[in-house]
Amino acid sequence: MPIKEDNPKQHKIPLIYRRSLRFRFIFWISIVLLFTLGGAALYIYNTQQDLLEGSLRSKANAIGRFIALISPDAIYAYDVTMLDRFVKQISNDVDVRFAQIRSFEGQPITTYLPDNVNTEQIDLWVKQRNTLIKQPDGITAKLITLEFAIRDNEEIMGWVLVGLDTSRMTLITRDVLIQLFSIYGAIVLFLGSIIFVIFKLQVLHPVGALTRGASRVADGVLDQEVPVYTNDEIGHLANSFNDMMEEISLDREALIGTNKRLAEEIEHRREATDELKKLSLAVEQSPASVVITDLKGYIEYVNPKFTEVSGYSSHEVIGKHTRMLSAENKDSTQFKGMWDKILAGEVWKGEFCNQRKNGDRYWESAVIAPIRSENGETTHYLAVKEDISDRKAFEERLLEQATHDQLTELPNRFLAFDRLKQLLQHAKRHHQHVAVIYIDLDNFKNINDSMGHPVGDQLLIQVAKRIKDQLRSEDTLARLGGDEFLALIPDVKSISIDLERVVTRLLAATETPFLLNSREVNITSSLGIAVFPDDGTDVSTLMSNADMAMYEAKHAGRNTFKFFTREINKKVSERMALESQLSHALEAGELYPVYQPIVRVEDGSLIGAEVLLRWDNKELGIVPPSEFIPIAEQSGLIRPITDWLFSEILEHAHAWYQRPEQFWLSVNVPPIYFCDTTFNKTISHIARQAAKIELGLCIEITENLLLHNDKEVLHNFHHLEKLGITSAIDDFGTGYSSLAYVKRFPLNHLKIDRSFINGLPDDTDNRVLTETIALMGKKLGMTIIAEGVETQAQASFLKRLNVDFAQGYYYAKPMHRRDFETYLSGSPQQQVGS
Amino acid sequence: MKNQEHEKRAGLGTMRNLLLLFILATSFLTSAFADPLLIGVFPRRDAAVTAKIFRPLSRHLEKTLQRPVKLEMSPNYDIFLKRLEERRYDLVHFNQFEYINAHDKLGYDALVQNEEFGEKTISGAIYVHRDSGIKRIEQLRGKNILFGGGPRAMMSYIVPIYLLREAGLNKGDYQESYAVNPPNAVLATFLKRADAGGAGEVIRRLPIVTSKIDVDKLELIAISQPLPHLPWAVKEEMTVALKQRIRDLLLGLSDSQEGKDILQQARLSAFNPVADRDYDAHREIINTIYAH
Repeated sequence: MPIKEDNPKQHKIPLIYRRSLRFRFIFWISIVLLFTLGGAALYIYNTQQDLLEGSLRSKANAIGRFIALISPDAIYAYDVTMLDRFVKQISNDVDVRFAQIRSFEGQPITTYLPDNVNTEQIDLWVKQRNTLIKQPDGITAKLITLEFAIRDNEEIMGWVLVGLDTSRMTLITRDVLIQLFSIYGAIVLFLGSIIFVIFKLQVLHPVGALTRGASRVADGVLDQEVPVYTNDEIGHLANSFNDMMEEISLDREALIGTNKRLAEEIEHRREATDELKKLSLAVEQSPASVVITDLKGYIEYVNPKFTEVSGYSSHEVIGKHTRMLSAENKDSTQFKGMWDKILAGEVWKGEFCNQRKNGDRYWESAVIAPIRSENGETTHYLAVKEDISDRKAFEERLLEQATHDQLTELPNRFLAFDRLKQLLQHAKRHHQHVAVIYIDLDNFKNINDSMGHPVGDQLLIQVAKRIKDQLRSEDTLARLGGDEFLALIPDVKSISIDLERVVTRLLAATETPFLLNSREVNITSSLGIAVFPDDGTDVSTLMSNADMAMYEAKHAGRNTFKFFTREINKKVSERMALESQLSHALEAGELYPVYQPIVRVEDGSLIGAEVLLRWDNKELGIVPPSEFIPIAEQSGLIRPITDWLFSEILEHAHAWYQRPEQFWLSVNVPPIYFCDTTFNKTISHIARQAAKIELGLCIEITENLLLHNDKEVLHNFHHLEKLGITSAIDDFGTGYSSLAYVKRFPLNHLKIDRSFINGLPDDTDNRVLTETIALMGKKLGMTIIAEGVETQAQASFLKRLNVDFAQGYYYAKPMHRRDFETYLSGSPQQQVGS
Repeated sequence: MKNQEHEKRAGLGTMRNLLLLFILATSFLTSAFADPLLIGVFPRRDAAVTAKIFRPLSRHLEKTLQRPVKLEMSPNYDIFLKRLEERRYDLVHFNQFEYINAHDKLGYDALVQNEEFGEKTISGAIYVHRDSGIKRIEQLRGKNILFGGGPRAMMSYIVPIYLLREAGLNKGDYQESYAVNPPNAVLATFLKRADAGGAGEVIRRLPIVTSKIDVDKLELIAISQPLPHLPWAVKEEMTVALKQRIRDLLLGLSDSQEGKDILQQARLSAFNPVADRDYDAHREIINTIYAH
């Protein structure tokens, strides 16, 4: 089968071998036949030439001698005609160019000469003996001149000259040669054809069948045998091929599986090889240091990264022991453990503190693994190391960060608890007391929100410093988070004296104003103290009890400290229980608003109502607002409760069609919520909702809010003003505000606390106070609302004072929504929708 | 009776037929078994040529004479002469010299003579090569003269000798060579094998010569007077009728195409009548030569 033309290797194969077998067979047979037969023809030609010339010469000799023999009589008889006949007869021979009889002296004695031959030519030819002559037909032939002596006994009488013309012989030879070649060519063609046909039938055809069979095998067709035509070698070959094909078919199945496994193995090895290459490159280019040692730890190889990290070049370390790199104790436990492990054939992971060539220390994370030979024996150790100096530093920083508060750099709660644990263990062993002081800054959030977090942070830093300055070096001050600090006082000798002294100092540390951004900031703290082992023997108990004590301090008014007691525990527990109940009150629908009408004092007409929150717990029953409102404020539940309350009253008011004109609802907003940064957004939404139903709103705030005296509070009041929401100071006179504070804020109403109304008109002090407050409020442009009016006399008094509005049992008790709806419908004054 | 008469007539007829048959047979047999007319031709040419050229004539004679005619060739001149002397030939053709001898001694009478190439006479001549420088016969003194025939050859020897004698050259004044026949003498002379050649004048005009040589390169330095041609003679005892018959036949050949063909074959243009006395000039020449 000829080689495919696009095989690049084909160019290296001689052209003849690229051809088909058929062509090559014909070609070579023809060559062989041509050469052999041609050679034979050439031999025959040459032989014939010689034979012909020899024959010619022989004939000429015979004729010439014969003529010479019979010429004497004619010569003697001057029988020219006879002699002419002789020479003519000779000349008639086709191979005789001329014949002439000459006298002894060489004179011609015959007259006959062939055409185109004259005596002079004969003279020349006689001299040259063998010459070449060109015939008219262009053939150049040899002219052989023979002389035969005419003897009469011994006397030479004359000569018979015979000129032999080999042109005929040449022509004959040429013709013979042509014929020979033609014949031989025909023979070659015939023989070649015969041989080819035979070859084709006997060889090519079976070979072609074999070839096709092989092609089929190549294509995977193994069920079609090659036909066997003969019982000769090719037939045997065909049989063998068929047998082979059968074997192939049988083995194929096995080979498929084997090949598959082989392919997988090859792929695996290839991957392994690739991996090996990669590994080699990876080792060289690895960002990690690679060190290979012998079994005793002597270095045999280091990669460039090692050099980069350690500062040692490869030739400085190769042959040296790895201990030269270590900055730690050579006989340390770690090293021992490492060697034990790797000698046991295991992989060791750990960290080293090594020393660079320049003396700098650095940390390395290392994985040391044994390198095993094919038979499993450990021959070397491979250490892959990573410079973790940065990581170590980072870890230290992280640890630092993880155990310390970033702002104050105090230990954080985690470290604090850990230290507490250790202190407790030590105290337990040495029978000592450990005090846990929970420090919580009062109203820190307001400062943070009003003055900004950077200021708040500065405050915390300064607070931390002040508190720390009050402690001993062995004491621990930690920041638990936010505005909470924890002081751990070990080895307290006297709780009543020493500890209280410490606590007092700590408390005083926060009382002094702080200067922040050129502003004085006042802040106090609430401290809760629990002592080991009295108030607890473990961290969580102590922390919990300290927290409860702090909580109690908060509840007690802040800026104070409380030692943990059982009573506190109980109170706190109860309070916590209540708080827990309250946290579910909204979901449980236990909260509900009640409405206490606010009337115009002059005529008792309804102008609005104060919204009061009530809680009816299924377990606790009706819980007084004085109990759950503080809890709500402290726990932060007050915000969602207030939001819910606004939403609830808006829904209720929407259904009150008989509201009087300019009817407004007054809602208490706790200072903590009023000062919250989300208040403005929330109140804006509420204002839009109220506007839709033409409901007026009034925000009642406590007097102490005015003590905040910051821009945020003022801003919020202005915001309310923009929204059309009025504001009222609730329970005015009971707080710590002053007129200066009242003037600063755009307040609309001033509500005189019930305690001042109570006893009117008879109680002189209350009367004076009430008159003063009413006058002040009017002077400040605010409407006066008296709270807690319960009698006619009080109402009359207030009327005479021109107090604008009042509320109390005298006019109406706080009532449920439906009751209030009924109340609205029966209101004698102008009613909305009437 | 009738039957007997019929049978008689039949018998007579038969006898008549038989007789007639006998006569014819006898005549045939007489003719068949009559002596053949033997023709002899002198070896002017070689026997094969002679036979070839004259066999048609002999057949013609045989046919016309209604008798066997045999042409006998002689291999050489001696045998011819011997047979001639034996008077073997009935009709013989020879040269003039032989005729004269045959007439004088053997009793042959000339019957007809040849006419060759349209010429009724023939002359003898002496040839030389034009390049030989010989212009006159006298220059042949001491030369080799090749004669076309022997001493009995009329035109090739006797007449040329006569010419030499007339020129004052006697025997010994020149060398004599003899060619086998006159054309060869001319050819040999042309080939300069001899200084001169003696042969009939007509020889140079023969095709056998002209076909071989350039006769212009030959020169005749002497030519004899025209003499009667070669004769055909018969025995004197031949019946006149037969003589006449033969004579008429020979002379009449030119009258027919067949005869012309025969003549042409015989290399003759005709036969002409001739008498013995016509050869007196020959006699004179012969006597001149051989009388000395």
